[in-house]
Amino acid sequence: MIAPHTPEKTFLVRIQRQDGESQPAYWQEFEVPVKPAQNIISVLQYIAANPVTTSGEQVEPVVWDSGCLEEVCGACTMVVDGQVRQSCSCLANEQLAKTGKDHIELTPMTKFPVVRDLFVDRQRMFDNLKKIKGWVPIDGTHDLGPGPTETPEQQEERYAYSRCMTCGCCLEACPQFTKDNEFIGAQAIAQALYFNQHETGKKLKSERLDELSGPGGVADCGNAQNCVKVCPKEIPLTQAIAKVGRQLTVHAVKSFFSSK
Amino acid sequence: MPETHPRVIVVGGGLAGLAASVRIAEAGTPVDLFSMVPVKRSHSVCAQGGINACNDVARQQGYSEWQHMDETLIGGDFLNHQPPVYEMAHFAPRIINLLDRMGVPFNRTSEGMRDLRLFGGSLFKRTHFAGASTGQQLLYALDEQTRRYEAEGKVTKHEQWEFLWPVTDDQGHCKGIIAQDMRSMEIKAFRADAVVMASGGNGLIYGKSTMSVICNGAAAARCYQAGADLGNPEMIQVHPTAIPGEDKCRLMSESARGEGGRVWVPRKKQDDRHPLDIPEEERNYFLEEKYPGYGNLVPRDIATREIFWVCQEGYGVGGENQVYLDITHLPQATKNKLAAILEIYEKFTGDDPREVPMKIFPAVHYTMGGLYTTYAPYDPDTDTITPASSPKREPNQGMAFGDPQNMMTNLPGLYAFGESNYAYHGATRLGANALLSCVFDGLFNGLSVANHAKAAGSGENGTPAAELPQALYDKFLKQEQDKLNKITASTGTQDPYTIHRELGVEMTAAATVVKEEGRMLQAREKLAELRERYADLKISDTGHYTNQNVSFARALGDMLIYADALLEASLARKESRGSHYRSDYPERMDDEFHNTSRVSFNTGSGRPDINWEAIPSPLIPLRPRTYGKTDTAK
Amino acid sequence: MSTANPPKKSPATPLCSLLEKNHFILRRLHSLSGIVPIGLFVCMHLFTNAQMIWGQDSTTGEGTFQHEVDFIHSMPALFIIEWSLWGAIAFHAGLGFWYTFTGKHNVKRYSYADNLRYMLQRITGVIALVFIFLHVATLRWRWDLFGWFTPFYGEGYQAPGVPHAFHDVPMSLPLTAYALQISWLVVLFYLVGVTASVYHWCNGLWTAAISWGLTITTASMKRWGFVCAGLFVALMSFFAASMIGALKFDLGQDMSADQIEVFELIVPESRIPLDVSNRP
Repeated sequence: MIAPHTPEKTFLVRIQRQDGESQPAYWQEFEVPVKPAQNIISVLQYIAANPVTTSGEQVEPVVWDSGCLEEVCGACTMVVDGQVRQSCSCLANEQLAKTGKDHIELTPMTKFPVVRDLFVDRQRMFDNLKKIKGWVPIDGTHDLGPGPTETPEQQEERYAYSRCMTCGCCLEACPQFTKDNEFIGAQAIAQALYFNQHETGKKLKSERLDELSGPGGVADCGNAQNCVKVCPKEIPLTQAIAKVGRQLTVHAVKSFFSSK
Repeated sequence: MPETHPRVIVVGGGLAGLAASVRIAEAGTPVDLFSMVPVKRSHSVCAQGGINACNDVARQQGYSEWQHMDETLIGGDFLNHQPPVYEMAHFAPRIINLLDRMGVPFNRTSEGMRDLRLFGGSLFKRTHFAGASTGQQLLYALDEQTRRYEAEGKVTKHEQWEFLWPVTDDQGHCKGIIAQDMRSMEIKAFRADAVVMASGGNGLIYGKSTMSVICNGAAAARCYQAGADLGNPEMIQVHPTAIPGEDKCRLMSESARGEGGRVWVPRKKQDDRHPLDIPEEERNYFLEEKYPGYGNLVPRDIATREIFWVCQEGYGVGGENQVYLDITHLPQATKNKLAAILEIYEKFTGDDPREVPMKIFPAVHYTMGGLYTTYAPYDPDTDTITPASSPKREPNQGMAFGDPQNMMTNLPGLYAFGESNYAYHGATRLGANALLSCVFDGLFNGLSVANHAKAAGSGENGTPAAELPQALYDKFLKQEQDKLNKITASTGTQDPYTIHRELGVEMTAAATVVKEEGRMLQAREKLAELRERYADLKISDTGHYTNQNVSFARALGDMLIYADALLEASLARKESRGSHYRSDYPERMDDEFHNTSRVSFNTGSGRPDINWEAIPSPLIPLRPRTYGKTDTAK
Repeated sequence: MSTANPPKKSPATPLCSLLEKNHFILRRLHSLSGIVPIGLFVCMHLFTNAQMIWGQDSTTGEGTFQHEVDFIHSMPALFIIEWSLWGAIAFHAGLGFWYTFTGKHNVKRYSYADNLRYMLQRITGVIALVFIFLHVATLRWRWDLFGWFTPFYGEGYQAPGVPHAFHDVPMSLPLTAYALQISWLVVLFYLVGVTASVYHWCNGLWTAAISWGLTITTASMKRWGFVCAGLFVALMSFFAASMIGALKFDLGQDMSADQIEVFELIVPESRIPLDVSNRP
């Protein structure tokens, strides 16, 4: 079904494309009709169905990552007009109004290897969760009664951290987190705190702190605090970093005097 | 590292898949976990409300596991089997305790206990919740436990791998899968002595639903084509108030109406005035007019149908499928109370619902039907689990723990868990029962899978996967490679995205809220046309790396086949039951249709064959499902 | 994942391995070395210099500034303090330089105030290092940089060629004033250098409180931020006082006769002619 009629109003979308991490990046421009309440995902869906650039060239559809489209799965992170964010919650008209430009620029996250186009590989984040032993060491799935109780305040704090959807916005915006260094970043630090705050999760606290005191650990944080500002879930990441900093200080003093 | 056998493959990394992986790994069987997305991004994250389980507080007020079962059965309009539901309801409190131990941040009372909330379908507080994102919290807790087993080498994750086909040996035993790396596009065969499908729902068949973009149902549809039957595919739950979007529909919580929100449409068709400029007398508050008693708070399925009808008659806002949900008249304090959900609306539409009425429409929300599964009912004579000191249950009260038959499809060795399993919800799912059924499947039936895998080579369980000839796997590998090559080389005229859009529009119009024979016959024609057009596909991406276009086109073919089964079962079920509402047969007809629609794929015709299978009622007798006192829909 | 494989990354040199093993402790020492020895010294130094604003007695050449300087120079084992400071600076600067290049600033994309401060912390660190070096080189080691020979030593001048009678003549204020009055470039140099150093210390105090886990809430970070900003203002006003004192000092009118004699001996080619016409 080819729609020959020209829509009344359109805007341009410039997309940085790349066939893989080792391939050169290139730009393509698409014209997209304006629709109400249209987010970046629907813009990309339109382009996928009409992969023709403004110069009339038929191209391969743009590849991108997405999932729930409700800002809870963390998949659709990309850099929109230079700023990292979830593209599902980015409305095209609001974005155009914000930048005052006639086009929107989409680029992949820069801190992770590009799989293709806007699709990046964030495995490093999941590996970091393994490094910090991001789990509660339960004795198995057998019926062993309820878990530890906690106050509503404790729950509230842990809940904030547990909403982390591993989207990577904090790492993309972090000046200390780069492709070639080993900094673990705000996401994993906050998760370490999340587990250290749980009564059973605490059992692995010193192992987590040992990991976080090594190269790439918390001490590499430069306190630029971009993480907390770009976090789509408004997780108090800088507080988490400070709290882990405190745990590390105490841990270091303790192990100075008591470790074998 | 050489593979150790027996091992199990789990397809899907949502709640059910992760719970299964944890349980199976714990039983000592290595697991290969396949998921199209990093498992933490599975659709389970979207569940907001909570998870049901009987608890001490409710118990002291007269509630019981039995009652939970009863609510689930009447909610499902008795289309669900009673023993599995009995087991699920009775196992539920243990699940909550376990999740609690895993560190799920359940909301707390001032004493530090787990807080509870009231949910549809019950008079007792039996829903546990963690903020407004219980599904996310539960998924993460299981993801963390899976990661622990992964770190120990007991679970191997294959993320961004797409399930293509189950491998079956000469006797029809499922002995592995064919899967494709969605990045390198490499297709590979994997051996296993049991395969668990935990691949979720199929909302994408309807184009736009409340589901994630990955919920296309293709994995289940592929098993169906490989010989696994479907059960009740016609049972699809529709949520009355969703925010229609360009890309998907997002839930708008019922609390907007609960707090006084009013649903209306302009009396004049296609009235293009600003909603606030339309005077009161020119507005049609159709729910309040038709149901003066309940008004905007009529049960969900009624609200859904009324909204649907008013739009079908052309009164939808702007002539489209949407009505106003208006809270602009509410006092500021109430608006503040609703802040969280109003912000979601504002974030995704750009409109402030405090100033402009929201536009909403029902949307497909959950797939009750799915892969047909069986179970071994509890039998006190074979029960070796219950301690000698405790009384044993009566027959049929639950399932036989660890029996390999539990939640196995008709293909031996192929299991279905979670939303892709048809077993627990019958004709409508109760709110906050979805998370429960997913975790329950994984934790309770995981052992059944492990037991089946361990028994490979003995009795009638076929040859162990490790000893099967490579030629068997190569045969299926070639089948999938050929399929892929054919799609990649397509040079036809039909764009897959257009076919998908038309499929969604047609299915939404014919087989969601209100089903009627004439309209469905029309849809049958349309589906035949789409299948024909699908054979003439045009592929715009011929790349051999991370080709989403090809992956989507392949899934589209499977969606068309599943849609066909869904539609045929809807046509054949000439009654109304739960979410399946036939305007031409508005009554529930137990004599003819208290049956499972068991749908098999006819490889000759490529069309579905429907068989009706009686549902026993060993625990409670059927009774009418009356609305009025309580809202029994989700 | 078999253990037979060699470790993924073997340390290139023993130094690298040492740094990796003691990563955390080095980071904390880096933070500490900046705050305590260097930072406290800078505070004291700025406070001492601020005394210049009180001027001096033009007959005897005595004043508060001179008094403070004499006190410092009377301290026992001054060289230990001095060399520890150098050690601390070398340690702090060396690691700091390395740490700076582990990150990549992005203020253009994320122009938040905190992010700007992050970048400034690194830039001011480099500026401060260069500044401190030049400052000490010219005033302490009397390097003749750019032809500005500006000896600075408070207990009087003891160079060969200066008669013994002048050895106890206080010269701190005149020589400091002279050094600053030579050119507006020197004033600018000090303005930039001191601002950078003070900023670096105050901002370092703010971030250290987070790193060490002292301020663990957003509110406490904010409160501590006000304290650090207050410190910045206080130290900068000390600096302003010292600048005013040095710049308003009249080389000639405000100097004692002894000071003028010494001055002419040790700065024979003074580019600022001493105006002694109105002296009593």
